[in-house]
Amino acid sequence: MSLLEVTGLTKFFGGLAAIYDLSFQVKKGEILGLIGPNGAGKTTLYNVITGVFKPTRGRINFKGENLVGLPPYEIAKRGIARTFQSTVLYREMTVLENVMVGSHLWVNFTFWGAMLNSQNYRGVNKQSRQKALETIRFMGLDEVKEVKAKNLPHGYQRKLGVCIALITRPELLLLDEPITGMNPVESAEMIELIRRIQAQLGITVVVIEHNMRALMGLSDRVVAINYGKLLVEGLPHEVRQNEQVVEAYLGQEEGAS
Amino acid sequence: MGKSLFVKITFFVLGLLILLLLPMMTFKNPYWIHVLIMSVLNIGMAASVRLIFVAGEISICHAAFMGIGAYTSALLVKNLGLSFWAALSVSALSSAVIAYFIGYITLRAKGIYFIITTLAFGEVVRLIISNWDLLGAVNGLSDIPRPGSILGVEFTNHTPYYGFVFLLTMFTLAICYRMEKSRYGLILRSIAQAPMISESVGINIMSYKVLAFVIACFLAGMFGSFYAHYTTVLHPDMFGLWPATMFLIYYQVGGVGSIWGPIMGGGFLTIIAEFLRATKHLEIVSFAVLLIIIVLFMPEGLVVFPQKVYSLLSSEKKKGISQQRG
Repeated sequence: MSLLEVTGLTKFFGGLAAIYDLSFQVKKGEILGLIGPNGAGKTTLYNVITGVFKPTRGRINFKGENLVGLPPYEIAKRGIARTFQSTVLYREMTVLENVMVGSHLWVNFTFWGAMLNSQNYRGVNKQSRQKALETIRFMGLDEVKEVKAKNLPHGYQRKLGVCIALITRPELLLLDEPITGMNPVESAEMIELIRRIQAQLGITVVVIEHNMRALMGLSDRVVAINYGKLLVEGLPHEVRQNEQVVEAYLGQEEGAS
Repeated sequence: MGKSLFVKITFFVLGLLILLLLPMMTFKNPYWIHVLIMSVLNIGMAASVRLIFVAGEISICHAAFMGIGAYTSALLVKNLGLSFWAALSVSALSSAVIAYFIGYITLRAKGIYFIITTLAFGEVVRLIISNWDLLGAVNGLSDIPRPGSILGVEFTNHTPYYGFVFLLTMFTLAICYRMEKSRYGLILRSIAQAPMISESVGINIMSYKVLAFVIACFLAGMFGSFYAHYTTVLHPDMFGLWPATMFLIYYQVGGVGSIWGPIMGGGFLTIIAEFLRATKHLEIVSFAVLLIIIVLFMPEGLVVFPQKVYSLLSSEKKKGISQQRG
């Protein structure tokens, strides 16, 4: 059963097609790897799915509902969360505060409740805090929860990004290069965490990653794109052996030299 | 921890002193009561415009919204015979309603572009007032009635005005404090720091920015109404670029980090500016020099002044002790 269904998706920036006639599916409960050389349109695809950019043409169906035209916060409400490629965080806030912002969708309070610090508001706030602490523990950020995001080491910053996305209680999580720039120990941890997010929390995950070995080991299926077009969709070993994919990454073996 | 407690106690004592000095001055010098009233009003205006800053934007049309409140209130009382107490809330609301529409349009722009749109709006308001005969145009409005008595308090001299503006500012500070400390503050700060994430976790950025803007302008309108019936004269230049910039200076120089910034900035700079009148035609120059000195030596703002004094004193003491030992 497909959770997300992208059909004929096209995004033009001026005359340039960042994504062209792209169709693929994300099945419920799987980890889908998304690969492609730099500039292939992977991050643009995330931005189009989450409503940051409006597609020029095409449909994005999530649980049978068309997402095209909805603003980002409405799409988040429907259960899609994402992380960002460069380490975008609330730099001046602590880890705990960062994660508490993420609980926005399921925290219900009224204006006057917040102004008068009512009992109901305090209860809701406490609940958000507890849930944030739980998620922080899940991501292994317990010991740095009072540290400002800007002072965290790179590996922790990436984990925090995932943590913020996770606390929105999504059904679909879009990760953008979660292990890029990490040392082997950190990336092994992160891969383990992504597996646990899928297995224990039952969240469907899409991962963009350049580390081929890690991605192939992690993904149930892989989608390869280049110049915004679909190259191949299939099982990891199929994609790895696909000639077009090899060509896109390594260039043609017999160059024009 | 210890230091911040020290700061809080210092503020508390200073606040009490101002309150206690008040009755002594009442009979002797209404001029200084006027200065106190203006400093408390400036605290309120600076604290409310800082709310927009918490959401990551800077508005230079805050004086215009104060003007909208002031003129609305003056017209309602003078021409329609409404009581001041009714006009106060109506003018604050009218300011908020206009802020809603203006905010909904201008807050689409960010950073410097938002600043430019607010600059433009502020000037538009000033020009409309300057050219509208109903509002007295460039001659301004005068003979605005004073507030009627309430709870047995008569507004015949400066003292009740001081008490009243003190209450208004307390109300403003309470709202701004709770806005910042509650989840609203968390959300506004998140929007200021990384709006892309806020959007991706389901926060409707626009609605929260507009909310902050509307509340800030509601409070500005409220102070405008007070101001109109306190001074009893209004002139378009009272609500132009200059006062709007001053409100920004109060909290920026006072310290942007907390609600104490506008309290320190608005309170002290207003009073110090009065003393600088002694420099006659160099008044503005000396005020500028003072600002530069404060910014250079206290980049965190005036809020660190008590701490600086404290650490200076304690280091003197240590020096004394080491000399004794030596």
